Amino acid sequence: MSLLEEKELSDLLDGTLDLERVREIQRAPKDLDRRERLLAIEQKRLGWKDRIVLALQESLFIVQTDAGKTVRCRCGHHFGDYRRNWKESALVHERDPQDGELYASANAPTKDWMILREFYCPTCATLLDTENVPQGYPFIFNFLPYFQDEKP
Amino acid sequence: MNVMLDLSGKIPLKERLRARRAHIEATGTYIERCTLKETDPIGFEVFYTKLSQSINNARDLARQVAASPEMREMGESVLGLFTPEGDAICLSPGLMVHVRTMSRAIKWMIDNDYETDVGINPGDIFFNNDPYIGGGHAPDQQIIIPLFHDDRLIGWAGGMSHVSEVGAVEPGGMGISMKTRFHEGLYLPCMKVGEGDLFKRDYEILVDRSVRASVWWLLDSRAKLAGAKLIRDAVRGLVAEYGLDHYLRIGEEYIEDTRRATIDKMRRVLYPGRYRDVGWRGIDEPDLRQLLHAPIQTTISPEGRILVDADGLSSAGPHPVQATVPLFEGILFSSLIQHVFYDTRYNEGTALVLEHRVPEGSACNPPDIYHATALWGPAFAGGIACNQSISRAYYANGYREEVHSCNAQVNAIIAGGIDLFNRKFAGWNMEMCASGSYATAFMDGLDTALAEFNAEGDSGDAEIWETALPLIYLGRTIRVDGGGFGRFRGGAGLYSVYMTPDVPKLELGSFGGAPIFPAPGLMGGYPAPMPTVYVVRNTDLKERIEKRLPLPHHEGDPASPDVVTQAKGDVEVVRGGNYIARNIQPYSLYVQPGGDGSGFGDVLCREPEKVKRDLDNGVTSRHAAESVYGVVLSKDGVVDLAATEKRREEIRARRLARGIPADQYRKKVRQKFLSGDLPAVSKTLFRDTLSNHGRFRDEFLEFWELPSDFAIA
Amino acid sequence: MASTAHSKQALCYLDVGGTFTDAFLVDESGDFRIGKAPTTPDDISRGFFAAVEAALDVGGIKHADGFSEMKVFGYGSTTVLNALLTRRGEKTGLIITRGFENLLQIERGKQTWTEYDRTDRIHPLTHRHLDPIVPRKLVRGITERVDATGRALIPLYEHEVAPAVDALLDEGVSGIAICFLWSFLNPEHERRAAAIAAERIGARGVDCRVVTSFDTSPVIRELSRTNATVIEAYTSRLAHSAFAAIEQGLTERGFKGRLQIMQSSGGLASPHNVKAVDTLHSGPVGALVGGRLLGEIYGWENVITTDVGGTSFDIGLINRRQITTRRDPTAARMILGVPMIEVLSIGAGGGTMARIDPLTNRMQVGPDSAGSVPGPVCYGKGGKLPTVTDADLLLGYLNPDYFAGGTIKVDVERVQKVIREVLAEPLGLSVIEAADGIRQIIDTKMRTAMVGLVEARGLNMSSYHLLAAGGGGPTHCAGYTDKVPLAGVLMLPYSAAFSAFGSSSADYEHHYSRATNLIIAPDIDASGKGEISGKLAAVWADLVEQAHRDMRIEGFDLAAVNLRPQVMVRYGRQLNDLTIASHTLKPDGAADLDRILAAFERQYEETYARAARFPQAGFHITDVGLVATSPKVRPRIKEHALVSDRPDAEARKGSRRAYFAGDWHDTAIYELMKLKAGNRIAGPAIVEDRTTTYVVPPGRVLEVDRFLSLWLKNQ
Repeated sequence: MSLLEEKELSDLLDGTLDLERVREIQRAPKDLDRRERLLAIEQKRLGWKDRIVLALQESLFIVQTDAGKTVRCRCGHHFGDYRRNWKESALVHERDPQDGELYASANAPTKDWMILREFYCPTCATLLDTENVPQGYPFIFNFLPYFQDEKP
Repeated sequence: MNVMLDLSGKIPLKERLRARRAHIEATGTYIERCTLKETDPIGFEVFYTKLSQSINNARDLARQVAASPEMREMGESVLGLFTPEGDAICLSPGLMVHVRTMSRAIKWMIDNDYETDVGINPGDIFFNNDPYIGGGHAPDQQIIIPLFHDDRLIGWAGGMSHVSEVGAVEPGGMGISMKTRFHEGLYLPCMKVGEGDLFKRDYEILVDRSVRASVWWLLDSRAKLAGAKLIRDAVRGLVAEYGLDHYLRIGEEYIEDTRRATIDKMRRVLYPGRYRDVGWRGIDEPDLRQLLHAPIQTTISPEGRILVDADGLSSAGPHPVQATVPLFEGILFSSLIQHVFYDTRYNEGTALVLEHRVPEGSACNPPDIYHATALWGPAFAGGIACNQSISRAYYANGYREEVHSCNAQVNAIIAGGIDLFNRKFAGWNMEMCASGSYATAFMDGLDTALAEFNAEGDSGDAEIWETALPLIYLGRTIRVDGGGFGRFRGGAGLYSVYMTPDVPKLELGSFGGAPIFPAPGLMGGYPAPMPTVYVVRNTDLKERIEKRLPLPHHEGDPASPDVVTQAKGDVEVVRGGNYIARNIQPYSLYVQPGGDGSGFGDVLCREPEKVKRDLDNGVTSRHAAESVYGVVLSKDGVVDLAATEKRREEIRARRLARGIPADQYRKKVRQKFLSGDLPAVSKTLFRDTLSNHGRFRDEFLEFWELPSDFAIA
Repeated sequence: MASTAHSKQALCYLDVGGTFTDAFLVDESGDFRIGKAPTTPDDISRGFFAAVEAALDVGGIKHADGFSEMKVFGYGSTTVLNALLTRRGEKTGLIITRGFENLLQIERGKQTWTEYDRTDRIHPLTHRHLDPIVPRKLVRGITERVDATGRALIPLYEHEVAPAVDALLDEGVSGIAICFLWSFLNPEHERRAAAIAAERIGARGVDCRVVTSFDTSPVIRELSRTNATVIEAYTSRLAHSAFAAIEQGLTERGFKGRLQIMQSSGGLASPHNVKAVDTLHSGPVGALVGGRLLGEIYGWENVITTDVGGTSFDIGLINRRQITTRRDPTAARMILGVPMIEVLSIGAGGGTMARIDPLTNRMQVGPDSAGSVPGPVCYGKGGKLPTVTDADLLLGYLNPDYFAGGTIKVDVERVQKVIREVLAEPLGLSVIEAADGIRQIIDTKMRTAMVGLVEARGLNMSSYHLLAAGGGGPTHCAGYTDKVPLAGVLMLPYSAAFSAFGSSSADYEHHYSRATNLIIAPDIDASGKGEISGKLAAVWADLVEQAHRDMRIEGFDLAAVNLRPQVMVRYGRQLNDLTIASHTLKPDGAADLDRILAAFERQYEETYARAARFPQAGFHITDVGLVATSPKVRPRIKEHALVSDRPDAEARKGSRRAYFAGDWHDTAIYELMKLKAGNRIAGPAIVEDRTTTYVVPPGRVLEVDRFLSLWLKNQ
């Protein structure tokens, strides 16, 4: 496989890269500088300057600030220290799966079994995560990354 | 003298196995050095090429002999070669859930003194389908034969496949009514069923009189034996060519070499950290209404070690929605091989790098062997959760081409009776091996293509299924809005509409799940919809056919499906899809969804053109296009970008309007704990999890700021 | 071995490849000539005739004479395959059993990974659906159902057909495929729907071709059948107009004989009577058909044909003088229900690349290839990974000063540098050890794949003769036949052209089959058996009639037509059958059926071992078939008187160092064209030709027989 070009990487990010090309990339041994290269592309795209140290998930980054490593949304919203679940600083909507907005009634649970918990960015309203859980289930802390320069 | 690698052939297997375990325990390696590889890397490759080829040949051969569609069509089988102590050296592709289950069976025989008490001789054939020894449930059947050089046991060859009729209380070997082991049919725990390369007559009589239709069990046993014997021949050839010592040593080196490669790959591609995801299952029967959760914490160390901890997992109970440790482990292997180790070898070395903790007494580690295991239970949910975590680890490293949400639980129809050719039959339609697959970070999930437990997903042809089971397909289509919504949507599963045939006897049922979302979305994607089965009895189909009136073939509008609107009859809506098999008359209707994948990312980031394409293909409903994706189409069906952006802004505004800050939300919910104002399902779940003291409990109480002695009212 | 005086042209075979069109010319004396011309995709016939004329020029034959003398032109066309791969065919509509309109979206899960290698098969994120040939909006469902016994369970709702056809015609389709479930057991609904469609098309006076699945591919499995039917509707017009253009061009040039089209099944058929979908895979056919011819000449029962090209190693089997056909044929990643010869193709050829797996520090060879661009490192066109050809060069097998007949200048130093850096240093080996490693691994891959093909059928290696063909076959066959207990190993002087030679030797052949569902219960009595015999006889009578009709259309003497009856049998409930030759076309009574079933059990036991037998389940005859062949003029192979076992002095070109079994050997070099019948050369030795290099390692010996074929034997 020829090495990934800048354009291909950013197309991969956008989900517009030709799928046969993606297959070549999937077949090839993993390029070990991928994280740095993707972060560089993301950094260029963002409207703010904090240095990204990790892409946490869709729309969320861990950035290095004077206050330490914090979670920040693509739109710039700050969620706070990465060691604390970012969901605890998000907007939450507890959706009744039977509300008719998404699923046909026969294809969704009733809220006695499960609710659909949606987490939004308070600034840009991006839907950052959904949790299908019974009422009263604690937030799920999906990812606590390990950094060489500090112990979680 | 090296006890593990017994070149003298004199040391009892049991002693060698003990020594091996001690060595692994002490060093964390399978063997210290790969001398043969170091001294002759080319020879090392050449030998492996020969070995793996013959094992793949064995699987191909076995598939030709098989009678069951799952083995021939779905590739629900795996064959392998094992060391004398039962460690896998090389396995064929196929059911990777069973990378270690045959190993466990061999070790179990060794631990239980088969060498002295039962006798292990050339030409012996052993059978196992006891999931507590090694397997998932009664249908997971293994044929294992010992390999000898002169009078010395030098290894084992085995084949495993899924056989659907096992004489359980319901046909097809998998059903929600199986509450204990004693409902699950015929179990033969590591039994010697053949000698001199031939099956014993009494074994075949036992099977023939214990199951509804024995042909699949007996012919698939032959298939696995034929494959295992091919492996035996190959080993004879290799020993003749290279000598016994070389053969025994190189097998150990492949295992150690794989272990190292496996760790190395994880270290390179998975970002280290602590990952948490949760999978769900449940039971919804009149006498038992319960949600089961599999909270999975996956820790990936900077060195590439992986620890899967299921602390907090729901307890075992009187139902089939649970699994054995071998299956739980198998599901994890299956996920890891398909998503991380696809390009490395897999064998016992793969198993050695994976550490897992499954609480005793939990639904994935029942307190005794009498607990039913027919429906795997939260093991799959756990595998799914681990999979989500692996995706997060890939994502953090930038490998978006490996990031995916998850596959749903699979659902299938089970049937038994007399077929169109007047033959007894029983089994299930395994077309759900082509469920909707997970959405990824670079494309939509594939519709009708894949099941979590079998990478080589396939639905088979309808005409093949109608040969195996007499059910008549009125339609086999793609479930509308089946894929979980998202920036990339999940794949939609099959939606099959059956008409029951005019046969003397027919019982029908389904296994699915509780009325819940079985497949969580990833990073903002929505879960796949809940599966729902429709049963319509006393229909007017016969009359409609005579009068050439329209019949139900498709799903139509999910809100009022065609099976309800296009025919008269008594409709049962089975939410979640668990339906205990029972008799059914000709010209009834039965709708079976196969299972769907969940979505990835925020729905409002989905390319409007993709939504339109799905509309044209009938995979997405107009309702979903407009109210979920906010895509507005003009009269002539073209995307109106301006209107779409406006609609999406409205949806965002609604989100901000109704979303409340997390701390307020927590206060609100906390009150419900104090006032006891929670649904019964939640209470049952929490009562159970809080009764198990551990990390999950402590964090639970801390999160809701509840006292350490808190108990659910 | 060069040709001498010019005698009359007998036949010419044209193989149209992606880049080149090859013409293979054989005259009555058995001499052959090869012509090459660039393929001309816009108008295939230009390249076709350029190649023929090039071949005639080689022999200094006047074009006019060549064409007028020629008795047969054989043609391996890629028109259909290309139309499929590039999705350039007729706008096609599909009429299908209602409820199955999404079939081409659903495919089968298997079709999202078929033709993938092992790594991708177990890595589901690489799986992809195909872009359907017929988009969903051009599919119409019709209410009807036939069940697994062939009974019409739901009658054809005739009133739905005309509107569906009109809707498709309104969309502007020029081809309509009709595929109903179980139509191969009961074609009435399909036939009626086709008739109604024809009425509508006639009434509207439009040009639209209607194809039914029963006529195209009457076999079980709706996806395989629908794929074949859709492809036929999508490409047949293209294919037939291409054939017509060729035919016209031939006539204009004075050709009076027959043009014949190669089918994927290995037989030729008239361009007016061939299905487009049956011409999909004519490329790989040649080696096997040629193998069958040599088998007849030498009197072999079982043959393995091997062909080493630039990117792949192709293996085919001939069992009991019959070419084996594929169980689950695919083309362009579509599962198809049409007869295709079985060729196992693995990624192992001259251009196959070697690298080190970073995780395990293991040397991996293949499956991917450097292709012609950049090509092997030695070409100096920017190849970065060492290939099999590069290794062969360093090992002294290939002649650096006579590479590809001296047409390519190779860069040996560069090869040494690359192999050192990429392979030798990481593995702690010397450069030559690493090069030898590439050869060992690739030879082992070829050998295990070959042995596997035989093993997986439980057949016995020692009953097979092996043919090594292709440009690279003779270079590697010593390696991939090493220690394999074969009956004999044969290489050919025209190795590189063997495929074209083989195709030119094909017979006219048509395959007929009728799916049946004859269930023979374990407790069946004599009268029941008699009944089944009667049913078999009836189907065969029917198929014979079809065969005679076709052969008549193609203008054959029916007396010369050879008919081979066969049945596909399995144990009750099994999902795989064996094809069993029947001893009679007119079975009568229980005895004949018993004889057929006995033949099945014999073959089954041979194939899957005794313990796998299961007569308790009864038997199931799923398909009744007939192969009709009619011999045609074949290339004859010249015989030569055996002379001395010592090659003439001028045959010896000199010697060079070559690396065998971990050591350098001073190796004699011979010129192929100067070898004579009876010559015997002991290894280590190398025989060179413009297109091929024959490697004889120590311990093996090369013998030239009276047909000038080269036998590789053990000393």
